[in-house]
Amino acid sequence: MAQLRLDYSKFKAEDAEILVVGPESASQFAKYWDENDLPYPGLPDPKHSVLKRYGQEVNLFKLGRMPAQVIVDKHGMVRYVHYGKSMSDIPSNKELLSILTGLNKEHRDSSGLSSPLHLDMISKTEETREEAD
Amino acid sequence: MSKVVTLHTPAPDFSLDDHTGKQFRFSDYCGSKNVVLVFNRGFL
Repeated sequence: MAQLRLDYSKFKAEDAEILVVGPESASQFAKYWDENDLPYPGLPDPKHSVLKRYGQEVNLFKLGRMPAQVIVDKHGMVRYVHYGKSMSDIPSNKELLSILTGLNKEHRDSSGLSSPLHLDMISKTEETREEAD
Repeated sequence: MSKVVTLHTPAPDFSLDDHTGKQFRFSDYCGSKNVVLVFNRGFL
């Protein structure tokens, strides 16, 4: 999470806002944000309402939540979803930024029609292909 | 492994109080900016 701060200006340049959601209490968030001087909003979700809706996995054995990232484009559509398989399974800033660059290019080039470019790139491991006639 | 959020579908709206206690509505950002939602693994 703190790694994002290092490249915050690059995210801004891609016209993106970072939002951090977590299960901690409002006071824990306030303390952490204060101590680390984070420039993006922190959203305490102690009731897990958003965490559940977005499907963040909880690893009961490791007593922790798996990290997850979701990128939403300017049309409010989900364009990238990454559910971590382990605590350290987090996409690099570079990877996230390149996706944003692609979304912005598409936004400029098209009149709002979404292309399957990123769908293909991102979900290839989850796709099951079926032959249909 | 249930995937609740699906690619190329509208992102679910939500509203929470942010770290300063101010009300935050996701739909206020949606539609004007790209948004990177980060679900953290807990503060270390």
